[in-house]
Amino acid sequence: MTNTPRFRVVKSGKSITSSDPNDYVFREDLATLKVAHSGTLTDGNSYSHGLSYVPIVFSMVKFTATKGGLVGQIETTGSSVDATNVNAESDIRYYVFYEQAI
Amino acid sequence: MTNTPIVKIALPTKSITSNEPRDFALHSSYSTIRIFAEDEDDVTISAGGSTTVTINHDLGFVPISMLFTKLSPGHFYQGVCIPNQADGFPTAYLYVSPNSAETYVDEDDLVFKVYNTFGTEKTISYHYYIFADDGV
Repeated sequence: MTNTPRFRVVKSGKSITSSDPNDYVFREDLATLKVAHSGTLTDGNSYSHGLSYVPIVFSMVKFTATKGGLVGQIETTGSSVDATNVNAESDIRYYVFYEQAI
Repeated sequence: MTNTPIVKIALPTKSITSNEPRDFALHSSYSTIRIFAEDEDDVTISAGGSTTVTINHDLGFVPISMLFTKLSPGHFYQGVCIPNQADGFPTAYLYVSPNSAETYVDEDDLVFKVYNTFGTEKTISYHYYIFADDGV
């Protein structure tokens, strides 16, 4: 018999035998969003992410130094990502992840 | 010679020696974003009115935040300013304001404002995530 190695961290109050992925802090068979790069961009500038695909990106508009938008919140023009760049259409903080978006 | 310790957990069917970050459930060379808080709740908006929801986090920095709202049965929508076409847009709709004065996250709170243009009171569900990572 071959055992499949497992590495699991269950949330407080949840069972280690649960089949619900939401019950885990970490599970060896579920990918996590790994950060390829994060940074800030000013309006009109781009960041070349260097990946060979269109990655998942979180982009948040910077309203002030202590106030920002939610992920995906667009007040005027939205920023974008393609297979080459993250393109800022306002002042933003962004996170590029090692996962293909489209 | 000094060895650099590395912790890696490859996904099923992937090789532990892979150079592709997507092949790993965990890799100590790559940071992940961490969920500080998440929850789901309801908010009621009066006919033709609006309601502001404030979720306190007290992190002391502006965190990455995500919001999903259920504006029609069974369908959660990410983000803001998404009218409810299933309920008759554009004649009447519900939406989360995209205005930075009404929907934002700061060092203390996640705040969002929901508008209801229907002639009847509406209750919607929302689900939020606040991450322990800088959002500005």
